Amino acid sequence: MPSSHDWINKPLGVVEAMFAQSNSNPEWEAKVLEYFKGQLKEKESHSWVPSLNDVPLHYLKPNSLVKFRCLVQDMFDPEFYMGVYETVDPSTKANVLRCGKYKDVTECGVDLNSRNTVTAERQTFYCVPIPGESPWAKEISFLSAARVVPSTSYVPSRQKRSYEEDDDDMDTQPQKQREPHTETPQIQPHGNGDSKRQETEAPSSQTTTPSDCSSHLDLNFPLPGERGPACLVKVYEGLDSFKLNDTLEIYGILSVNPVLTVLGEENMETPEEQRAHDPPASLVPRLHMLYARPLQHNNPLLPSAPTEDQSAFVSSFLVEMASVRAELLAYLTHVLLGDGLAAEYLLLHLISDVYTRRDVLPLGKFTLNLSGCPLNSYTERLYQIVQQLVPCSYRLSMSLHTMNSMRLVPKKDYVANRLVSGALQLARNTSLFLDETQLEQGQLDSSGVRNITALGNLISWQKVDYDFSYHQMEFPCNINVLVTSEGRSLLPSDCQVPLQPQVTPPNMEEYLTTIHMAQFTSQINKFRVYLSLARTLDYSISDEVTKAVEDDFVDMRKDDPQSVTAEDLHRMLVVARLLSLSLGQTTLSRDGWMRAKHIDMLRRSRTEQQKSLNGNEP
Amino acid sequence: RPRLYSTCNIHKKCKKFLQEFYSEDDNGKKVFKYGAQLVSLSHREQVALQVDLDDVAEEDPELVESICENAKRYMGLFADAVHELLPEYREREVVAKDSLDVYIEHRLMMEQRGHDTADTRDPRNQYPAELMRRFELYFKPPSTAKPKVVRDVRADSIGQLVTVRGIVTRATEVKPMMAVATYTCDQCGAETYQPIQSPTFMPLIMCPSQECVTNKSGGRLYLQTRGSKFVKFQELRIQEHSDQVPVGNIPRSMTIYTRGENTRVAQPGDHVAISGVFLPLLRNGFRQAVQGLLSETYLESHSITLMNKTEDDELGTAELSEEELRQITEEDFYEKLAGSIAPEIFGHEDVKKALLLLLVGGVQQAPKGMKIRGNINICLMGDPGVAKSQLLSYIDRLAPRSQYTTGRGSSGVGLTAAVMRDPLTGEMTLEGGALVLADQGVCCIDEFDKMADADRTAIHEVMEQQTISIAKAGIMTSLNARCSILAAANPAYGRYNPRKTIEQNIQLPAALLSRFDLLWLIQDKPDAEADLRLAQHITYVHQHCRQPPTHFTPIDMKLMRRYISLCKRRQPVIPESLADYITAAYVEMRKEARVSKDCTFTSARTLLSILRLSTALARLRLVDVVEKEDVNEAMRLMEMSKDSLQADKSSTTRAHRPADVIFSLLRELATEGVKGRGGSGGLVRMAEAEQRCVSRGFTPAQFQEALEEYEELNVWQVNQARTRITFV
Repeated sequence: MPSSHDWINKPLGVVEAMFAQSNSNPEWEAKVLEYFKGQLKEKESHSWVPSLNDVPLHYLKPNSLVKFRCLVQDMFDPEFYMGVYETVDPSTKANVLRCGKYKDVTECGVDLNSRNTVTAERQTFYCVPIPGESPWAKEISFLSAARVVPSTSYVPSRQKRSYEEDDDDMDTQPQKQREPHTETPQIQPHGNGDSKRQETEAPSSQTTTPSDCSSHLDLNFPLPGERGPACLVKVYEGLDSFKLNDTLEIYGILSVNPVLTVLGEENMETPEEQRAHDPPASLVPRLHMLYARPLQHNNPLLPSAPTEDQSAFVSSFLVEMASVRAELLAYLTHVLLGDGLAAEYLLLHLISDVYTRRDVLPLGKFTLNLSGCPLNSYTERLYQIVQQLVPCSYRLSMSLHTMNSMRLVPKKDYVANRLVSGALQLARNTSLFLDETQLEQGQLDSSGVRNITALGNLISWQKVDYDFSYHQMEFPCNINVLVTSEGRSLLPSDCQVPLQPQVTPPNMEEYLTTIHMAQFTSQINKFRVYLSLARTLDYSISDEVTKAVEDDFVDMRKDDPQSVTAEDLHRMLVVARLLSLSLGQTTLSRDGWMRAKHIDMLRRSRTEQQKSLNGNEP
Repeated sequence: RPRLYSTCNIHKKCKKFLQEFYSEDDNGKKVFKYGAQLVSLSHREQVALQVDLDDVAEEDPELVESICENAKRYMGLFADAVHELLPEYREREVVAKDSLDVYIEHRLMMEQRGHDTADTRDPRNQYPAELMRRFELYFKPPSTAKPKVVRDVRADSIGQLVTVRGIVTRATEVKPMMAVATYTCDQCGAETYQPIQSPTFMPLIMCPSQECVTNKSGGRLYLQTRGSKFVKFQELRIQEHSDQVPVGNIPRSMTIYTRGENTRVAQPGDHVAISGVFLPLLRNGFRQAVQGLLSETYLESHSITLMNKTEDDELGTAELSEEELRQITEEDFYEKLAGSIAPEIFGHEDVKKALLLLLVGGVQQAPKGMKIRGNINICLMGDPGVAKSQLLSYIDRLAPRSQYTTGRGSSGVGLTAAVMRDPLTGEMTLEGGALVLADQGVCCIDEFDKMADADRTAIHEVMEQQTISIAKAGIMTSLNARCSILAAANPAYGRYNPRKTIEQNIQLPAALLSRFDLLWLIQDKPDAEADLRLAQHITYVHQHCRQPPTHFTPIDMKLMRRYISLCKRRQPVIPESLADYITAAYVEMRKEARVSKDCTFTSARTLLSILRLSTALARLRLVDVVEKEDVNEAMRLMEMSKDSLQADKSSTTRAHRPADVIFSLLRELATEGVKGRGGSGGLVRMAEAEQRCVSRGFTPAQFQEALEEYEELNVWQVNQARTRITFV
């Protein structure tokens, strides 16, 4: 590890040096970006950069390089700044050209009427931590970052304790599990980590947690109860390559100059706008982007960049794929009270992904409706288990009250000129767990109806219509929706699986706890890798199999036209795709197709049964 | 690079242009466009003078370029020129309109007097030009300049004259803004003026006049409200149209400053095109020093044009070019156009044809004050999952003006109109519902069957009268709702139940059903060949992740929209000669309805539907007269729609081959003839027979086939000239 990290500690110095060398040759800008990109490419170097996600803001050095794993929540209008300006050196009285990039504040003595001033344009993104990021994902990425000494003044006790905690976790897992703990272990690491966090963040929590200052400042997190830093990211290059709701890992220069707050005053903006666009830098730091990496996923157990690293990782894991799948299936079967078919479908659902869109139709979406769920907090436990497996998730309890009162769809607030976030503004591949068992009879008001419609649209088209008051704008999304309900869900779904419990444990909580206990952390980690990896595999269908599928379809229709519709064919092809991928196969085989057909048939016969039991439910 | 002009030079140029520019009217007389305006300006009858840069381009194209590059400077130059010219154009004494006029007059007199005594006035106390002018000068950008998208207005546009389009999202109240502050000194009484450019200013305190400075009397300045000049000022915020935003981006916005005559033009929600100068906001004092790096920008508006969305569409799309027209009107354009509707949905050609006609619409007739709607209403019914909603949402996207709602999500009030009491003023206001908002467009209502009956009746009036009458809480009015209604409904039992009658299946009141011109039942029926094609279609999509190649490329949505708006301009008429034919066909339909105990309703409304459909077809062909083919096609569509409702009967008994049906039709015709003419034998005239068959939805080819087939079977004989069919 190099002893001096000038490029981390004083990145502005590096930028300025390069600017001075360039003699206003415009190529210097590209050189700066190259330089930082090069530095970050070096082994492990990116882990030396402290992360805003993990380190409290006041421990970070101003004007140092930091990284931030986040979601682009809003994009503000572009702003114009002086890319190059001239200052008068007070000692020599000479005019010096300075670069205004990556800065918020200039030195004194700027010559405002200089002819050498260059006006440039940059844009501000409002970024929030990835909504619904699972505690385990946070924990692991925090721990892996903590292994190297961050180049900040922040070397507090927290890290040591984390180390201990970490070791503890590894070594004493079995003992721990045998301990008669108060809570179920699946939330235990979460709760534990949380309390740790709370402790260490205590000094800052007065200012950074939204719950404390929500009355003054709404940090606009998509999900309620989220916390962490929000950030105003100043973007200089490649503006067109970023989209709303992209998940990015941003490397940039931190700017928390208190003057920024003063600047907000006496503006052409309204007070509301000011609050949204120029919040105090101590709460919402500014980050001048040097380099941003789009994240395919936020699973810290997987190499995130598509490099040789990853392909090696993938090929090594592919060998294990089938065995991990079997283990995971067994685990899920236990969780789903011994229902193997439902477990199979849940597994397929967890690796589903909208891989392409044809006109308006998203392909690859696989919304699952688990009906017949036992009441009494079974769904809650189920969610906790899902949360343990996927890196991003959110449980929306569809009670009447939440449906009527919650804001699901983001809405443009023209007074403050910002996009007020809603719970459906989620990162790609987030697992959205809709708990319909919480729904009771009653009156839905107009916002409730709108919310239900939005959920329906999300499920059928994988899009959310953001409300811009004068018109709506369609934002495509890629969210895995799982609906748990008693009967058939009132929301549409791609496939419905009525749960058929094989076991009826007298104490549900204890039952699920024991199942979870039986899994080692290493095992769970394998599942996590498996689910994230299966999604990234390529997939194709050969002409030959296509032909077979077509013929099969025609045959099925011939026997009984009502039995298969175009939609069924669509779904079965998706099932076949997911089934193949779940086994690590990247092409559809005839066998795979038959299997898909088979399990779909099983599922359908089960729904038929259900129907006849329930009378003529539509 | 535009040539550089010296200021003096341009000044002369401007003056010359204003004085000498003229155009010739129809009689060849010279009309001095700006001269005439200068006269009214000088008489204070006009405030704003708009310099059309197209006119300037006629004189000096290079000058226009410079103006567009640096509009603010040229605005000043032109204003100076106007200011100098005004006295020359004054033809009579002007009566002072307000106190500022009086002030200006006094000041001018003072100046005159000052000159008489040869007393040189302190240059610092000279009247600023802004103070003495009561006119406003604006540029109208050249018509060659394309309107920009807000996001394309970048740093390099600063100082330039740009035109942007967008929707107004915010408009402040109009406030007076100080343009020139006038102060008087409490010691010497001299007036001091301070022109103000930025939104804030530092008031002057010490009197700068010669007298005070030399005497060191320390005269204090006091602001004089009446002597200062104020202009009306309004700040707008516009946002890009949704179609200008790249996918996955947030629409950008821009601040607009409007002054004087440009204020109060636009309100939030208006679609506007604004041209103006893109400028950085000048700051002074502390902020400028500290901030330095950032500069805020705004657009100083020169002209604001309101436009509604449909006009906006037309504006960007002038006439269709020859080539585009050819592309559309080549052979089988009817099929092609219909096929281009929702190309991702497989099959349903006739439904698509009907939807195409709905978009084009029939001609509205108004004989003797009675209004007969031209809009076509269509109801799609069908099993769940037959892409009804997709068709609806496609139409919603394609139609230039449309509203999409679902029956479950809307109440009668939401569809028609609501009377609201304004909480602040207590006034009653009308708020239009979806149907009113879709005036002159299409209103798509999904899940029509899920709507409460009471709410559904609210749209009865709309569907026939095309108005909404309101008599509520002191407001009695009638709103226009000239929209076509496209409804989609599921059969009452979720799936179409062949064992039930159609009325039971649909469960919509007859009063409502009869208001739909066409009713389609889209059913999911097995057919090996179609199934295979469907399967191929779907597997192709999954295999290649894109649309399979079709034998024709669907027409682009934009082009389609333009073609439809072109069609809508036609007003085809039905010639006298066709009247008999249509009447006969109608009588025939009535008769049949009586005989076959039809489940749909053949009424006078059916006749009107046929007329509407045929005029729509004529429009589609861009002709002015309805032809017999149009009527035939209209009747064929009616027949097909009826067939789709009855399809189940036939499938439960046995499928009829077209030839068989044609045979029975002809036999019927023959027996009729026997009755009519007292037993002249089974003789049918060929023309009559063909007409009858075509009106039942058979093609002439099918007719000919059937003819030959049965001739071979020796069931009938056709005479040599092929004009008569004789039953054996």
